[in-house]
Amino acid sequence: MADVVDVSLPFDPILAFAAVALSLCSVIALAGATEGNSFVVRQAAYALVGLGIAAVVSRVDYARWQAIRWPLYAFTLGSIVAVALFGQNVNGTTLSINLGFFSFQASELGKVLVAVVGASFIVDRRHDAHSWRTTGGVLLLVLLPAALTADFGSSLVYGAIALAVLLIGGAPGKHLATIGVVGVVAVVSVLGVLPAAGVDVLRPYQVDRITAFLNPENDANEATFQLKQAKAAVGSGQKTGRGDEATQQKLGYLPEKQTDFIFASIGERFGFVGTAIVLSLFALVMWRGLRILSTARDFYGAVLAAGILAMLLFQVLVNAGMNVGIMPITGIPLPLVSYGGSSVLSTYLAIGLLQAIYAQGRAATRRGPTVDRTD
Amino acid sequence: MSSRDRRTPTPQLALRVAAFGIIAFGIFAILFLRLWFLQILQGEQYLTQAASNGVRVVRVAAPRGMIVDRNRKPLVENRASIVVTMQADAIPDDDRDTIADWGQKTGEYEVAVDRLSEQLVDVQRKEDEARAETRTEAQQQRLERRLNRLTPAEARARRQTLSRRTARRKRAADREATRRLADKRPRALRVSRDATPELRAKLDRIGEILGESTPALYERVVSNTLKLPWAGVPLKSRGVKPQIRNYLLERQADFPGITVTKEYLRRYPQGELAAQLFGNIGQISEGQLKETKYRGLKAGQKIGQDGLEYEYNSYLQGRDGEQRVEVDAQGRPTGRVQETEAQQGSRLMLSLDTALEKTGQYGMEKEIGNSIDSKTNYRAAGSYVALDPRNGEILAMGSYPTLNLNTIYGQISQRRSKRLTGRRNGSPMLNRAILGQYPTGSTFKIVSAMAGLSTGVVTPDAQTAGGACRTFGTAGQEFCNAGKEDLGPSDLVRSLQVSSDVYYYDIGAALYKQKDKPLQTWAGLFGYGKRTGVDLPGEAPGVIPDSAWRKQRNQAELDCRRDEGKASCGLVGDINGQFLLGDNVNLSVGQGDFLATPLQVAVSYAGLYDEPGKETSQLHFPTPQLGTQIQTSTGVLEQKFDTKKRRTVDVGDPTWKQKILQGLHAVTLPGGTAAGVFDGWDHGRYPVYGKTGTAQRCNDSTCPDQAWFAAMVPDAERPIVIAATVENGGFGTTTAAPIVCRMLRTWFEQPPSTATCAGAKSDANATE
Repeated sequence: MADVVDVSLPFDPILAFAAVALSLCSVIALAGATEGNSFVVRQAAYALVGLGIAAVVSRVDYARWQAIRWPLYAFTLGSIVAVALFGQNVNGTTLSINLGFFSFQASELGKVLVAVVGASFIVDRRHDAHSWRTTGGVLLLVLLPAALTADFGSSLVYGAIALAVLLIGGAPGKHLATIGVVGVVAVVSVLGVLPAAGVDVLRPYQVDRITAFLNPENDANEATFQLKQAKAAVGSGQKTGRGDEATQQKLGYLPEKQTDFIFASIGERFGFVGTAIVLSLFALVMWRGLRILSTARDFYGAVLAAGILAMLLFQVLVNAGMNVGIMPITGIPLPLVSYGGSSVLSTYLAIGLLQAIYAQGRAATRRGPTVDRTD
Repeated sequence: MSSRDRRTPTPQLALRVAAFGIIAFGIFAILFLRLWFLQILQGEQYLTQAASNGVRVVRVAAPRGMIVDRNRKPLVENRASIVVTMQADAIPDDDRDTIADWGQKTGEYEVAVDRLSEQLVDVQRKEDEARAETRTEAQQQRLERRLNRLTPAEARARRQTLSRRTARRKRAADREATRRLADKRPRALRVSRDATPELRAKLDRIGEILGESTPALYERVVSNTLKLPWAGVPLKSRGVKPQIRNYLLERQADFPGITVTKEYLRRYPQGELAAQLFGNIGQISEGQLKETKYRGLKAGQKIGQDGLEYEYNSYLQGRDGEQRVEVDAQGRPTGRVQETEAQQGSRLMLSLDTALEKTGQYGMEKEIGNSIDSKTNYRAAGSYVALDPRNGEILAMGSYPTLNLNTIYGQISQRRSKRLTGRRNGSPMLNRAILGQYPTGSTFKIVSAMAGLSTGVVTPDAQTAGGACRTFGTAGQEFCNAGKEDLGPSDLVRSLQVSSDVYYYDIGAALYKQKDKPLQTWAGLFGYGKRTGVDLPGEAPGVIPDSAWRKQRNQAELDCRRDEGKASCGLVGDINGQFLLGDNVNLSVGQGDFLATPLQVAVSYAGLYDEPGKETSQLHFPTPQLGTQIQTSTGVLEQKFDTKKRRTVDVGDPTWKQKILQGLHAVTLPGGTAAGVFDGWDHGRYPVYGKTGTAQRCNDSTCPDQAWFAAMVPDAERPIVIAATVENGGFGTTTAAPIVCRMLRTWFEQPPSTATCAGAKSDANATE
C-alpha cells in the first residue's frame, strides 16, 4: 500500500468543506424529519466511512484505476447482475443486496465505475475520437449496465455520464446532436408511443411517476399527489421555514421525506434559507469540479472529472427539480443529502476521485511540465 | 503514444468545458428561480394548503328546535343517539360495482312483476265484463231487484265484500306474476358470496364489537349504498352503548373508515297525532345546496324536507358545531382538537291544541276505523280542520288514516316503509286537510245563497216552489233532491235547514245566464279555487269550474293524448264538451267539477264570523296559520308571527249574512239535518252554525258518498270553525257531523252527556 498511497499530496479544502457541509445538512435535515435517531446515526456513520474512503482514494493516483478498467467493468456488470438475481425486492423492483450492515445498491457504485470505465475507453481511442466506433463504444459500455439494472433513475444517470464523457472526450458535435435526437425519440416512445401500442418497457407506476409533473391537476394519480404535497412542503417553508411546525413531513403528507424528498423537507423546515444553502454548496462542488477538470494533469483526468461532475449535476437537477415540481419522479437521490449508504459512499468515492485528480494536477504543476501517462 | 502537456488545453476542449459550465450554471439558475417562486412569491398560498392538509373537520350535529302546541305541550322532540357509521370511501370499489349492478337488476325485476300483475288484473276484468254482457235480461233484472232490496247496512257490507274481492284479486295477480317471473329474480346479495374479503373482514371486526351479525351489517351497506351511493352507511344508530363508543374512539386507528358520532333523531311524544303536519328530515340535496335560503349549509347536513320542518327550517335548524381534529396522512388523529359547540335550533310554537286534535283523531278512528274505500279499494280516509275565525290560527288539523311517526322515521326497511305509507294503506302521510281536493256537497250552499241574494235571484224571505226534482236545459236533464224527496216549498232559512237541493238548482240555473258568472265570482270571494296561504308547503288550490276552465281542460286532454299517444287520458269525458247549464246547476250544490280542500271549507265558514253583538255586513276571511311563535330552545319568546290581515268582503246588505247564519243555526236545531247529532247540546250558550254536506264521488251509485260537516260557533272567548270530511262516510250527518260535535264538546269543555254526537245511522230520511 505504501507505494500506492501518497499522504503528502495536496487536496482541495473548498471541495472537502462543501462535501462535509452537505453531509452535515443531511444529518440536520434527518434529525428534523425523522423520529428517533436511527436515521441520523446511520447517515453520520455512512458519511464518516465515506470521508475515509474519499481520503484514501484521493491519495491514490487515479491512473491506477484506468489500468484495471476492465476488471472494474466486469465487477460493475457482475454486481448489477448479482443484485438482480439475489437482491431484495422492494416495490416490485430489485435494487439492492443485503450485506448485513447495510444493503448494497450496485447501481449506485456503478455510477462512479461507469465514469471511470467510460473515460478510460475514450482516452484509449483518442486517435480515433471522431469515429462512430468510439462514440458507439462509449454508449455501449455505459448502456449495458444501464439496461441490466432495474433502477430506472440510475440508468438515466449513466446516460448523463456517457454524454459528459463524450462531450469532454472530444466526440464530434454531429454525434452529440444525433445522440440527443435519438434520446428524445427514445424517451417519447418509451413513455408514450410504446405503451399506447401495448408494449410496456417501463412498469406502469414508473410511467405514472415520470409523467405526473406534466399534468399536475390529475388528482387520482398517486404520483401527482406526491408532487403536490412536495410543492406544498417547499412552498410553505417560505423565507425561513416552519421549524417544528413543519406538518407536511410530521404528519406524513410528504412522501419519502428522508430519501427522494429530503430537499422538500429541508425547504419546509428551513425555508428558502435552507434550500439556498444546500444548492449553494452543490454549486461550490461544481465550481471546484470544473476547476479541477481544467487543471487536470492529463486528458484522462479531465474526462473522468467531467463524468463525475455530470453524475453529480444530473442528480441534483433531477432530484431538486422533482422536489420543486419541475421534474418527474424518478427515484434519483440528492447526492450526500438523501439518506442511504450506497449513495453516500459512492458519492464520497466520486469526491475522492475528484480530489485525486486535483492532487495529481497540483503535484504535476509543482514538478513542472509532465507527460500524459496514458496512451 | 503521443504525450501532451495538459497545461495548455486545446481551444476545442476549452469551449466544451465552458459549455459544460454554462449548462451547470443554467441548471442552478433554474432551481434558484423556482425556489424563489415557490417559497418567496407563492409561499403564503402553499402554507395555507399545508395547514389545511392536516386538519379533519368533523361536523357536530346540532339538535333541531322542538315543536310545541299552544299550551307548550311537546309535539316534536329530539332523541340523542350514538351512530356508528362506515364512511363511503371505506367501501371497496368492487363492492360498489356489485351492489349497483344488483340494484339495477332488482329494479328491472320489480318493474317486470308490476307490469305482468297489471296485465293479469286486466285480463280478469275483461273476463268479468264479458260474463256480464252475456247475462240474460232476466238475470240482470233479478240482480238489480236484489240490489234495490238491500238495506243501507247490507249495501255497505256488500260493497265491502266487493272491494275485498278486488283487493284479493290484485294480490293473487301479484303472487302469480312473482311465481311466473321467479327465475328472473336476481339472487339476494350475501356477504359470504358477494362481498370482497376486504369488506367482509371490516364488517366482521366491527360487527363483533357492535354485536351485530356480518350479514345484517352487509344488508345495511347494500340498502344504504343503493339509496345514497356516496353517503356513509349508518351501521348502528340505536342502542349503541357508551362503552362501545369509547372503545371505538380510543382505537380509531384500528377501525379505519369507521366513525362514531352523536346524532339527534326526532321523537314524537304524541305518536300518530297530527303526523302529516311535521314532515320528515333528510340530507340536503345537491339542488338545495345551491338555493339561497340554504346558504351556509354543507353537504351531509340534514334539513326539513316537508311540512312544518321544511316551512320553519331556518328557525328549527340550529347551528352545527365543528370539531377540528389534526390528522396525519393516513387519517389517524394526532390528538390536537379544537371545538366549536353546536347550538340547538329555536322552538316553534304552534296554534294547535293537542286535546282538540286528539278528539278529532279519535272521532275519525271511531267513524272510519279500518274500513276499505269501495271506490279506490284502499283504506278509507278523512280529514278535519279547526280554526280560530278571528285570526286564522289552526287549532286542529288532521288527516286519517295516520301513522305513528316514531315507527316510520325510525330504522325500518324500505319495503316496510313503502307498505306502511302506501296507497293501499290509505296514504297515511298525505295531509288531506290541504291536499285532499273533493267536491264539498251542500256545505257550498252558503256561497250559492250569497250569490243568489246579491244578484236578486232569491230574496231572504221569498219561498220557492217545492218538488223533488227540476228539469233544465234542452236535453231535459233532471236534477233531484237527495233520495228524490219533496221537501215542499222553502225559503232561504229552510233551504239550509233541510238542505233543499232544488232551491239551489234554481239559483244555479238562473245565474248560468248571467254574464259575470256570479256563482263562480262568489266562490272565489269565499276563498275557493286558490290557495289559502297556510304555512305549509304544497297546498292544493282546488277548482272552480267555468267555461274558460273547461276549455283549458279540453286542451290539456288534447295535449296529453298527443304527447302520450293514448286514446284517452281521462281528464274530460267529451273533448268537445262545454261548460253547460247543468254544470252550473251542479256547482250550486258543490258538485260536478268543483273541488276544494277541507281547509278551504273551514276558511269559507270562518268568513261568516262576527263578534257576538257586533253584526256587520262584511265577511272576514282569515289566512290560516299554524306557527305562532319562535322561542329560544329554553322557551323564551324570540319572535311572534303576527296573524295576517283578514280579507274583507262587503256584501252590501247586513240581513243577507244574518239570514244565512239563521239557516245554518237551524241545521243543528230540531228539524235540521244535524239535529240528531246535536241533541242535548247547550244551544243557548254555544249556538252551532253548521251545515251538512253529502258529495257524490261516483256517477253511478257504486260508491258511497263523501260526508261533510262544517260548523262555526261565534263564542265571545273561544270562537271556533270546524270542517270535517269522511271520504266514504255517506250522509254528512252520519259520520262527519259527529266528529265535529265531539270536537266542539272538547273545545268548550262540555261533558259527554251534553250532546249525543252520535250519527243518525238509521235515519235514512235525514236528507240534505
